[in-house]
Amino acid sequence: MFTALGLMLTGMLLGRLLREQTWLPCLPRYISPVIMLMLFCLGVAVGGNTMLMDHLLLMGSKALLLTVGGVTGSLVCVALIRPFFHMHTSAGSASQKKSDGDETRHHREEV
Amino acid sequence: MGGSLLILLCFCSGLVLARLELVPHWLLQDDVVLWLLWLLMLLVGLSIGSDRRLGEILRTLRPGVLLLPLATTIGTFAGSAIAALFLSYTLAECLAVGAGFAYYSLSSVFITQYKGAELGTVALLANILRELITLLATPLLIRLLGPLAPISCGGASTMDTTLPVIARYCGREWVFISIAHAMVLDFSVPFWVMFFCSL
Repeated sequence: MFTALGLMLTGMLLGRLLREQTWLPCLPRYISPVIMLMLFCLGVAVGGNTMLMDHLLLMGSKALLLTVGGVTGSLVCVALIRPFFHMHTSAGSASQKKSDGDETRHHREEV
Repeated sequence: MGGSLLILLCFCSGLVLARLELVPHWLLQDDVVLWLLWLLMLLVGLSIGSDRRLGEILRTLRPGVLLLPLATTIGTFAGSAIAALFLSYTLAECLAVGAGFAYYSLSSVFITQYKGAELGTVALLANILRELITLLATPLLIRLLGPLAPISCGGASTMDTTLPVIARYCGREWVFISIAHAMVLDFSVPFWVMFFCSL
C-alpha cells in the first residue's frame, strides 16, 4: 500500500519537475487502458482461483449482503453530508470547474 | 454508463477466460495486478504533478473533509448491522467484516485469526466486492450522488486501487480528498476489526 502511495508521490514530484515537457500532458490518456487491463487481470485472478470459484455461491451471497449493506449505508450518509461538505469544497471546486469542467466532461465522454 | 459496462466487460472477460483456462499461467500471478497498480499510481502522480492548478487544489482542503470518512464509517456500520439481521453471524462479526472498508488483505487476516477461516473468507469476499463495486460503478455513482459517492464506496482503497478510477471520473481535484479519506479509514481498520472481534 505504501509502495503505491510512494510511487504516486514520486510521479507527482516528477510531474512537477517535468511540467514544461510537451509530451507530459499526453500521459494521462494511458490511464484508462491501464485500468481496463487491471480489471481484466482481476477477473483472471478470480476466475483462476478454483477454491474461490467453488465457494463463491455459498459464501459469496453472505459477503454480497454485507457489502450491499455497508455500501448502501455509506451512500445514505454521503447523501446526508453532501450539502455541508459542498460548503467546504465549493470555493475551490467552483474555480476548478470553471477551468477544468470541459476537460473532465471530455474525459467522461471519451470513456 | 458506457464506462461501467466497458469496465464490467473487461472484468467478466478475464473471469470467463481464466475459468476456461484460456489465459497463460503467468497472468494468474498476483504480481501482474500489483505491477499494473504501480504503473497506474505513477501515471496518476504524473498527471497531478504536471497540473498547474495543484496549489489551488491543495488550498481547497478544509478540516470538514474529515466528515467524509466519518460518514463512511457510520454508514458502513449501520448498513452492516442491518445486514446482520438476515445472516447467521452475530452483530459484532458482521461489523468486523464491514470494518474492513475494502481493505481485504488486512481485515481478512485479522478476522481469520480471531474468528476462524469461514468468517475470514466472507470478509475477504465482501471487501473485494466493495472494491469491485467501486471500480465498476464509479461513473454511475457519480451520476447519481456526485463525486463523494465513489470515494465513500471505495473505503480504504481510495488511496491506491480505486484511486486511478476516481481520479479519472471524478476529476483530479478530488484526489487529495480521496487520499485523506482512505488514510483515516486505513489507520482505523485494525482498531475497529480487533475491537469487534473481541466483543
